[in-house]
Amino acid sequence: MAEFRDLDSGWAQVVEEAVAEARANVGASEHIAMSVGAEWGRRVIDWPAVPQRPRACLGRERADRLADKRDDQGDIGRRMLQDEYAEWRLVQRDGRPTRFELTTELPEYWELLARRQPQRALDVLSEFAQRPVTSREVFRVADPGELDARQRATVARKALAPGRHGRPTDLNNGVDAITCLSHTTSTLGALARLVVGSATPMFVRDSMTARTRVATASEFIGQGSGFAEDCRGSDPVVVERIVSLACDGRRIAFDDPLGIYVVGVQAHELLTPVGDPVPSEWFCFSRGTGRGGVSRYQRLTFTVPPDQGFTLADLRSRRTGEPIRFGAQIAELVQVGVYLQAGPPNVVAVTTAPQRAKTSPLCGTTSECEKLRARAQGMEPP
Amino acid sequence: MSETDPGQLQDGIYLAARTDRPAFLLATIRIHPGIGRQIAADAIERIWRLLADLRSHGVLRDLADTRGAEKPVPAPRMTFEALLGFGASFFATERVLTDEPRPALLTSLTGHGRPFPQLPWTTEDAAGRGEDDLCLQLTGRDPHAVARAIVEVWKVICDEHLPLTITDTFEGFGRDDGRSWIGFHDGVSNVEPSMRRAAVVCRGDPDWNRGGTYLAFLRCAVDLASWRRLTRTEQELLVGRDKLTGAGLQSVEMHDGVPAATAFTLPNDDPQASNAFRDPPETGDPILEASHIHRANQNRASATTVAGHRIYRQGYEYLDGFAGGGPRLGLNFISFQRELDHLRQILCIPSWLGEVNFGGRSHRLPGEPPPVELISLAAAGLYAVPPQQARFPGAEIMGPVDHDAR
Repeated sequence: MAEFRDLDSGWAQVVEEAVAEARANVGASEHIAMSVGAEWGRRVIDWPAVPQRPRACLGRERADRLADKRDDQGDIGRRMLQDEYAEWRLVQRDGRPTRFELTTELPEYWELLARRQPQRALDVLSEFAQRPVTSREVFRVADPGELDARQRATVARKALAPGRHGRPTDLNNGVDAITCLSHTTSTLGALARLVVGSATPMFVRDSMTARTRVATASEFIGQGSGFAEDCRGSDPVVVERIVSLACDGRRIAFDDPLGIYVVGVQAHELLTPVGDPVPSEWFCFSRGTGRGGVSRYQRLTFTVPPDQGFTLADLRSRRTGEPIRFGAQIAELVQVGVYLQAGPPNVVAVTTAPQRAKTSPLCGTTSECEKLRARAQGMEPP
Repeated sequence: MSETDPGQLQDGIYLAARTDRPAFLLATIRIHPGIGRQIAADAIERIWRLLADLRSHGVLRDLADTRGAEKPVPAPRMTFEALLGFGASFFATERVLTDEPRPALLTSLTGHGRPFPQLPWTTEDAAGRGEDDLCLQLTGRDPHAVARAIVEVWKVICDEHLPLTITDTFEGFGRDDGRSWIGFHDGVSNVEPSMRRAAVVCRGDPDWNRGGTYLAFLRCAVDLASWRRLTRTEQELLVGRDKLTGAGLQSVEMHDGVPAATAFTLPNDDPQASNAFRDPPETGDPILEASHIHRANQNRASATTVAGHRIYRQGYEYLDGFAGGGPRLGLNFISFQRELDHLRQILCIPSWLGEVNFGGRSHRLPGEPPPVELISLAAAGLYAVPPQQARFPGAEIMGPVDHDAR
């Protein structure tokens, strides 16, 4: 795609800056490399798109219901609960779901797009919103050319993913569209810190066998990392995999181009009204490519073709037997992930002396859970 | 069985080694339709007490004192464990056996074609086998220990006209060489012992199963004849291990379109304790990463990491006679997991086991092993396994005992 081709070098620079900042913040591990060598290989680390911590803290049904919650300023459930580097909206008609849209695009990419290709940004937003999107809605001026590149990036970021400093506009709050990740922890900077910070070997002594083994994510995060949160689907699996690679003495680099991608979908798990699995063709992958068998798509749309005579609301989850009511029932069938490159083992010297492990509390019992329950109480009484 | 540990996992889940319990039998039990909750609960309690008594100091029913002042013949003590599970149909609202809703992922595996994308039913009538209101897993020292236990259960059902029917049984055994029918080491890459409780024990949702677990039963028929037509190298690439030593494969090289695999070197001193055997490291080789042992654990994460989808496996082989000139054999795949979602993810995520029947790449190059459909399901069922309770596991969900109301 012309967009990605033209922005490729720009994105590489953005990533490089984010990694450099991460190294300054969490430590410059010698396991992190900025380029890939001859014997390196790609690794994929993936997780389900559905948020795990809300389910652990609130119970499955309540968490799934709240994840779709909308107030007069848009999808509040998404902003509060969808924190796995994947966010969705469930389009409904007369209270019945008709369309599921999921994005993994990082907000920093949209800053770059606004900076370098503002008209393209408006064109893509118009596709998402299925209506013409004006420059004023994004850039607050009639013509994006009235702003310099840096101003465009700042204003667009504020409109789409302002973080703690506001709410996204209708173009990214689910009312008209979702565009990119908006959760405060789902950013390129957070991802860079997560990977860089995890590239540290850690061995512990197993409590039962007394053998030395690689630390679990819970043990690593329990040290007080600050860049990873336990009990999610994403952070722990990324931490654990990278710690393991570091323990092997490997160097690790981001795959190029860096992003969070939709790695796969379990179409078999959704059933039509007559009990057949839905065709995988009903899932539409976009905003990326599938070249070389590697999925680099960052947007997934699912809807039932209009000629079928039924809608998404008439489908059932094979997993639970329940009709589709919540976006989470589809998100749990979507794998999202990050690609890394890992070099050969035993290149970086590693100390295997076991450390004392401090494990994080059980998911469902943490102070984060208490905060989540309080937030949920505010969103909806039990 | 252990009434002294209410709220704890039932027996028959061997989080430590179970070398002295190689005998297995799973029985499915139906509660007669239209039976009231209290009568059903009393019946379950009756068979549970029978099994507890039989285990601790039991007398076989037909060898009790019937003539006065005779010495009854006791069964040997502590030769088996029993575990009680509740299937999806138990929670059907029209049965009124419990007010508790069905746990979200405890569903029937029948009715909509293949229950998992790459696991077909062996025959049409296999669908539905292995599922019922209840299951009893009996594991023991010897086959006759578990067989005797289930026959005693049948006797008490008959003698006391309990509203229960044993609808099916499935037997199996643990091999003494740690291998499966396909000749490779099996059950090796299991969860670390210190992590097994974390993989298995439910933390709530539903609250009544806190401290319990979920059991998945997949009776996997193995097409051994097709498997044996593969070369040893093809088999090794599909499994991910050296067939004789069990060492994980380290690399693959193609020579004129013919693959040659190299395994990790095992240490001379206690080779089966090494990671190269127990938990082979990831290699980065796309052919090896598509092998069975790697597909079943793609993220290589621990049991405390949700997206690792770790489950604890406790399988038993079976041989079900010969038919059509070949053996009907396979594996009673039994797994315990704190959430059934983990098993589903392993078997449904395309890059895990959702796009192949056993192992290998869906888009393979010449020279790579062909996509043999090795496994089919001869029976399957999912069960909630509540924690131990004074009356019987799961008694809480059938309501309090009110003797006056009966």
